[in-house]
Amino acid sequence: MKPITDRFAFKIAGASGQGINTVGEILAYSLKAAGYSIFAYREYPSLIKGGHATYQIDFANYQISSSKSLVDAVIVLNKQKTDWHLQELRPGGIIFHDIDNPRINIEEEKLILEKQIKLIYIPALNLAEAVGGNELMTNIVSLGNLWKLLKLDYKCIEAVVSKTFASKPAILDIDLKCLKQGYDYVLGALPEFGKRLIKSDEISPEAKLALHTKSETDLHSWLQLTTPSNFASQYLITGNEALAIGAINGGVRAHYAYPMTPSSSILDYLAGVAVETGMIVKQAEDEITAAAMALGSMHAGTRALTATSGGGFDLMTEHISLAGIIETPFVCVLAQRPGPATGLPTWTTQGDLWLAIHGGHGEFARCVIAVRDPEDAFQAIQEAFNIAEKYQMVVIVLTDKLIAETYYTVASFEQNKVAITRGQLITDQIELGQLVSADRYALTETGVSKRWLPGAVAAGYNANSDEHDSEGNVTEAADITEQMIVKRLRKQDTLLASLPEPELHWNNVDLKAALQTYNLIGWGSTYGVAQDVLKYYESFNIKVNYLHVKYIWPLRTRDISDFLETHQDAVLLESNHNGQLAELIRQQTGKDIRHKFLKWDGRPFFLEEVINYLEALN
Amino acid sequence: MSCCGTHLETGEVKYSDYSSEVQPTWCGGCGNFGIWAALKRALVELKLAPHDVLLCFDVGCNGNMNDKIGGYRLHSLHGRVLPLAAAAKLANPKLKVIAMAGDGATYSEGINHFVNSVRNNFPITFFVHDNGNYGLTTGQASATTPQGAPRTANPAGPTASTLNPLDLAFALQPSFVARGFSGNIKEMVEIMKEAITWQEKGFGFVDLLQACPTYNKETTHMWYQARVRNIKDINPAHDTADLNAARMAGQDLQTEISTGILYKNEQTLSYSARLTHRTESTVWQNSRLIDEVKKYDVSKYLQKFV
Repeated sequence: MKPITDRFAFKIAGASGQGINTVGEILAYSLKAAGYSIFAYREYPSLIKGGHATYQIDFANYQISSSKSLVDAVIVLNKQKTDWHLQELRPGGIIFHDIDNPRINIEEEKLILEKQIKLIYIPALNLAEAVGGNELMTNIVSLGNLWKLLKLDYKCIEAVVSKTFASKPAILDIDLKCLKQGYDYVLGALPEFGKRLIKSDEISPEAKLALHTKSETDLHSWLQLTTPSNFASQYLITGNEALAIGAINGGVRAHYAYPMTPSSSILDYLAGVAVETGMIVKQAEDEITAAAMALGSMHAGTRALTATSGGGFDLMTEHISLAGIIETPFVCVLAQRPGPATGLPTWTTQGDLWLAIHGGHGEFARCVIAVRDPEDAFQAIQEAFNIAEKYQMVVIVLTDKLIAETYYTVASFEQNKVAITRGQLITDQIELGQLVSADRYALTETGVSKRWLPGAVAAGYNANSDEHDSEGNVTEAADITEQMIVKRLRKQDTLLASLPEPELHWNNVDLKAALQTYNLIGWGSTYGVAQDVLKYYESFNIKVNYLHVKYIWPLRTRDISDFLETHQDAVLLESNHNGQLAELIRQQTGKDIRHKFLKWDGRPFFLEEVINYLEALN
Repeated sequence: MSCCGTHLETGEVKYSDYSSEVQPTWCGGCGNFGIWAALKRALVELKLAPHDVLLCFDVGCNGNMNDKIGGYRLHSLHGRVLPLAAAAKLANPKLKVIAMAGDGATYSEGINHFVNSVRNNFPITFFVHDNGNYGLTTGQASATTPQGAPRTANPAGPTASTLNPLDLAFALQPSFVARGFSGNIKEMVEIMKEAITWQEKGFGFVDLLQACPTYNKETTHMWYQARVRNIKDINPAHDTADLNAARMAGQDLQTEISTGILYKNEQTLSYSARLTHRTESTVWQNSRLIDEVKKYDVSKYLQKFV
């Protein structure tokens, strides 16, 4: 592949609990304040302290929505067991560290020399202590020094640090001084090597010294930043935060959940703002309870949300089935992480598509919507409630760890895009007075019957988990059973008729002049990397089409079928082993997708990976 | 049951407003008949119209009442009635929410919900139809099956110890604890009325000792009848505010079994009252979640992400 020269990436690496998120967020918001679009992706183990974590910040002067495999610099915060991330550093990249006696073994030295990587040592602790700081503030010192090398406006990072520590005035002043110490520091000091026993595979102090850069003039060719653009006023937000705020926007008044990564930050966020929103936010005793409570509040007539990941969703499925038969609207966010069982708790996947479609016993109507990014999450959650209420059915909103926890740059959130619609919910007293119990589950052409709320001055009805007749009385009659199953499933057909076809995206390359064409198909978070593939190839006059499937179930098949018919070479991108969307498409259309780029290691698709895969097809 | 009863026209609540055309399917002599009658009478005597009430049923013989009574009903899943009922109440506090479940659902399948509902002090009323075994699945042992009593899946009697449900509740800092007997409708009506009235203060838990003539040959209607005695008759000085006294009074399940209201805690706040972000807010304190479904401006939340 041709090199990517117009976007950049830094990786902050260290132990969990070392403040990586704080440093990462400061750098991400500062780069945005300087005018760049950001994509900030975290990798961390399921631990609170220790273990190895990274925070990768990609940035460009145009909208980006994926991570690169190769980064321009690594900021190493680890003091104990150092991982230099040499594999991910591009040739000519640099490593910032403040370790007085770093371990570098022979293999690492070889790679550093081969890739012409430069090490930069900053005596961060000394610099921090000189202004009253401590070990925790060394990260800020290093950040200050990086910022100077970027030659960006100091005010940008100063303002972000001030905002970050605004609630802790006692340390804010020292943090600002530490930032300045790092910014003003002139490279030159070198670590005092050789104080400890050298391991057999470790290189000599002299060799370590040789790998270090002593002067900033050596770094002139390191990075040629592109001119900043106008992203400063845009939002930098994770999918979970956007989804939670979308829920507030769309009239969700209760949230019941049990903590499970990567859905927990929805619970934490909503609990944090409950004083302002007035929402009831309840940490339930388990996911069974969370689902039951969401359904109970929905049954009474408010909008209540629950959110979980795969394991919790398993527990919720009996209530999904209950919602199916009593036809009470129900909305659940399923934030995917790799399974089976506890799997990889803090990593990403698209492995629960089949679970979302099939979870829950019996045959009943449901809708599965896959979110593509934070902006989409903000709207899709509102759309989910509208569908749930309009069709009185279960709606599952699929996200994944990548969307849930990664910071995306979003231009705007249109607050009135999705108006609240509640379908056939009867609230008018005259209409209520005319209802009879048998209206509740009356057989209709659309499958949707009138719904009214307990407490309404009207005829009562029975929301019955047993098979029932139109007023909810228990029945075991063959004919009524048959009719009721059909009635409820008919709602899915009614919904399907109202859903749009998958969205086709393409880059700005004239098909006639194009050197080549790639045709991609994907769903959920894959949207992000696909958008960046489109942009990448635009500059090389290569046409890329991308068909994005948002409404997974029920599935509209016309455009998918046409796309696969027209493009026999279509490439599917999916973060799972079985190609779950591909299998669903084959089931629904009879068409196979020839090329499947599947990935099930818990990592998202990195930009270069997709490009390399496409180019290897030729 | 296609109509909604005369209360809609007259404003008066009659016993027949809670009637259903669906005939009971319980065995002859089943304790559910008594509970069914007492429940309807308690609701009528409290002048609660069917539309004011949400009756929530679990799965089991008790749950089969779901279409033998009028009004708004929610027939849930086995063991799961409490969280559904509690959340319905949270969404619409004007509803009187009554949950019912059997001993199998409450003390086995859904014991976590029972424990946490007491701890959360959800403002709902809970009647347990405690017949000492699983009736609907043809007589397996439950947590309240007496030791040594053979049941279909436990021919030599339960292998686990027998639970005293009141003792469990007393360990959880309860709000309201009572015990009734399916053979004493008059007493059940009084207990139910008080438990339902208590609802705004918190979780009203009533264990109803119930005969199961088909499967429970040990603690039968006659067996209970010879042993149950109202707490006021046992000890006229019983103080319902005294947790230890109530706990002691609830211990005996063999010789003299206390019934009636054993314990009431006026101090414990209900779950809703603990939500100070609503109770202390002029915007939300008198509002219901069901009336709050509308678009909200979220600019101030988004602004923090710029």
